[in-house]
Amino acid sequence: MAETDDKHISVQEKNPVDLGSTETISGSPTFYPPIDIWEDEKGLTIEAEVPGAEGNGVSVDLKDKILTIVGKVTPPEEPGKVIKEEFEVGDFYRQFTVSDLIDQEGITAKVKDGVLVIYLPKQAPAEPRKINVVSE
Amino acid sequence: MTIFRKVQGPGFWDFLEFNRMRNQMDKLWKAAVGKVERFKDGYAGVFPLINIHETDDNITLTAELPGVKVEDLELSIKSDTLSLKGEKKVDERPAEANFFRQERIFGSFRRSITLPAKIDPDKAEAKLKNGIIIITLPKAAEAKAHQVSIKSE
Repeated sequence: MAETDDKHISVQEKNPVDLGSTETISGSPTFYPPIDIWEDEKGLTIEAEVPGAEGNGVSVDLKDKILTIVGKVTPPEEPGKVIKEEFEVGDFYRQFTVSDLIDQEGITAKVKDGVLVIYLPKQAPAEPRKINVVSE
Repeated sequence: MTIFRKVQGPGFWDFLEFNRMRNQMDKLWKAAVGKVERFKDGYAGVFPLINIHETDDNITLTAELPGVKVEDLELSIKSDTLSLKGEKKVDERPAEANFFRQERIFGSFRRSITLPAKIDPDKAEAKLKNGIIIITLPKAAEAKAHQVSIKSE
């Protein structure tokens, strides 16, 4: 197949999760999604590219300060004979350690256009407390 | 002392090291073989990566475009060439943002693909859902396989 291509953005190969030879989650491969993480004064934002994962197939879990992202992708029904296969379809998985300073109750997550956005608000700073000293 | 050393032996650590090396070799082998197979397949290494499937009636192209909006995509077909053009734009981010990770790639892209069969461009359909574009191209009547009946005489 002849191709005439103008290169603009470079290709980002999918990064498979190495589960070792003895462990498998399911029959399909699992990939680490590319992510951006940034912090502003109010909190942290994580953006992960999870193309093909729908709302109910995406889970964000927080346990013992470990944030786990899982995106289940249903492979398309066999649409016929393969002519060209440049990428594999599979699930997504990634883990982060989250600081104590995050307000865990306030975490929100949404998926749009194949991008998962997680917002982790910082805890409100502790109010300065004045302690009365009683003299006896 | 000698017996103690023998029981503990050098074998255990050697085995770990051997295992580590073997895993490394497996990984390298998989990476090398995987690449070769892809290049054979006409892997162009151009964004976006594309899968093409064919049935008796349709040619289907799929590409992963997470974060790309419909209004930033342009699709055109001219004779046997399909062009997919667009821009993956960065969503607005606060000016004072302090980045810990920046792995997502943004920018404009253009890719032209020579289709493996003649198609009917008027019946072409494309939809973008969950960051995946699926382009369905019905084959032109002349490109479809026709059953020829054989008479016995």
